[in-house]
Amino acid sequence: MIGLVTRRSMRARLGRNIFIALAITLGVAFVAGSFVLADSIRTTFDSLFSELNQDVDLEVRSVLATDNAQAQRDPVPASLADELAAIPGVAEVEPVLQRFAQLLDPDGEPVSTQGAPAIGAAWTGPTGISGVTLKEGRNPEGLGETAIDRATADRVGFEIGDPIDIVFDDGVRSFEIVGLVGLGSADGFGGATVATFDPATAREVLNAGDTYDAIDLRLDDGADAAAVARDIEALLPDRTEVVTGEQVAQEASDQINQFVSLFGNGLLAFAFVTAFVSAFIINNVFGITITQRLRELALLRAIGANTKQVRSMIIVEALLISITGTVLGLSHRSTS
Amino acid sequence: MADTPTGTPTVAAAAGAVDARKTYGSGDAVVHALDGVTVTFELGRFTAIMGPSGSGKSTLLHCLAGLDELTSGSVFIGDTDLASLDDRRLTELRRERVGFVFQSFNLVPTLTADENIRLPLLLGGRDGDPVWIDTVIDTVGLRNRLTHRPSELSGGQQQRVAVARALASQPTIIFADEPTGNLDSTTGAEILTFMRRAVDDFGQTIVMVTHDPTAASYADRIVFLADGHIVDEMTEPTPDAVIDRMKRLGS
Ligand SMILES: Nc1ncnc2c1ncn2[C@@H]1O[C@H](COP(=O)(O)OP(=O)(O)OP(=O)(O)O)[C@@H](O)[C@H]1O
Ligand SMILES: [Mg+2]
Repeated sequence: MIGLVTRRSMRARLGRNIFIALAITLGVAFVAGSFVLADSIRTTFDSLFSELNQDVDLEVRSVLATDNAQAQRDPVPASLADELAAIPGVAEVEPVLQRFAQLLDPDGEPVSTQGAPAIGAAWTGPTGISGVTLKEGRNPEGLGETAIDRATADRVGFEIGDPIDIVFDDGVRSFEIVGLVGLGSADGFGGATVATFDPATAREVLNAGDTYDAIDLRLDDGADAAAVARDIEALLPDRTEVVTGEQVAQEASDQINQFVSLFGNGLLAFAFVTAFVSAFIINNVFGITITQRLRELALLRAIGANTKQVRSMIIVEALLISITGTVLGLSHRSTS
Repeated sequence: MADTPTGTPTVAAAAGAVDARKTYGSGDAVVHALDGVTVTFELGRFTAIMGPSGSGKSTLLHCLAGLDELTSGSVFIGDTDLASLDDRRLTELRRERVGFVFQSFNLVPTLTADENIRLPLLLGGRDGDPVWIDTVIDTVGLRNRLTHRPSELSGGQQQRVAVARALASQPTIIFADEPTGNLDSTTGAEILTFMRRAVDDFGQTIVMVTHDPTAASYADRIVFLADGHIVDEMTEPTPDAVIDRMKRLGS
């Protein structure tokens, strides 16, 4: 019987109930959505970094003097690259060097990156282990040659063989585009513009002198990573270290995760404001009908409904509305 | 209870109160809504309660029907002392032994007239006596309005549904608090006629609060209340006699 009263009362207040369910839907969708968004950003970056570093077995870099993970590491001597290549068990050496390099379009205007960095980088070529892949043409060799990322080339209208001017910290230089590159299977680098040069050219144009940021290594199949690392350590100068590729990927992920958590918390705060507003709306909508509602409940009690019946009526109604709203909210965020 | 010297409910009593007191508030703001009321309502009779506004009529009715609790004293339905009942028993008593008709907001707005009439029975998981319910529906003349919602019924029709609901479970006693207070005199007279018939034809006991001497004259007996006391009584009332008595009490 109380089921009949509940059904009728819910149908009679259908509009209000839909409204409340909608408010719950929004609140839940926002809260769930910000969790999911932060989570998917995190997974994207995690897989990006592990893809980037999947061929890197070891990295040689300078020791960080501070605990601040954001601090810039000192460069390492460029001569190390050849020394490392000579160590038994080392299959591939990839110098890491990244600096500011702003591309200019054919009109001489800077190519916009919408806030993403404009990067100039050293790249040994298609056999390298940096995660940079050749999409078209060939890898740059010597002064005057560069390979830029295909996403930017498509956007601005550059083609292989075109001349391009690039602004560095110490001035403008002209190059010929000999290749187009991407990151793994992607054509772009997440919005950044990237110009690559062979390592020696990179040192020159990026004004790095006789240094690299770090040196990545790939080992021979079956080589004993720990033993090789020990051999490497023996010839490393002071304040230089060798770490595994996984550790590098992990550190990069951790850094991004810190940022994503902040970002996620911001979203979550926003979502909770939405949920709070929803609650406020619900409260108001309920408030409007509360006198009528109380009268109805008092009447039911007066003519013999017991506390259990009245309570179950309220609970069933509240549960149905909030479950509907929650389910809608959860399913909505997964389709959006 | 048997020791109470005056007003001890007799065997034939449907309900009664013994030295019933009800106070609201405390300190300077204390209000004695009922200030020692002893009264008996006999089975199968129609009693009216009259008195000035604020004299405690509604309070008395609510306490008798188990909708409110006394501060001291006792009330009975049949020979059950309501103070001895826990919430579950009290609910059961309201559902099965008491009918209540309010001045307004008597019906659940989302249920049809028919469902409203059967509501107390259905709440108790009972179907009731179908022949009796048919009789009640015909008596109050609601046969062709059964599927209507309260919002589709006139005020008079809504009160008829409320009276039918009170009658449907064949309670020991029906309390009605100004059941015709919101109705014009013709519609009010119809409702009063139904209540009178319920007493005469079916032996129903009814206690009704009213301000209207004509309405009160439908009753077998009138109890006058003032400042929480019973101040007078009258049997076989006529409208004129009631008006006379009210004038005398007022002066
Ligand atoms: N919940 C309450 N809180 C405080 N005082 C109350 C409460 N209910 C009733 N009273 C007071 O008790 C007294 C009796 O009220 P009651 O409603 O019984 O009067 P009444 O005879 O029914 O009046 P009316 O004819 O206007 O309906 C009044 O003085 C009223 O102000
Ligand atoms: Mg009253």
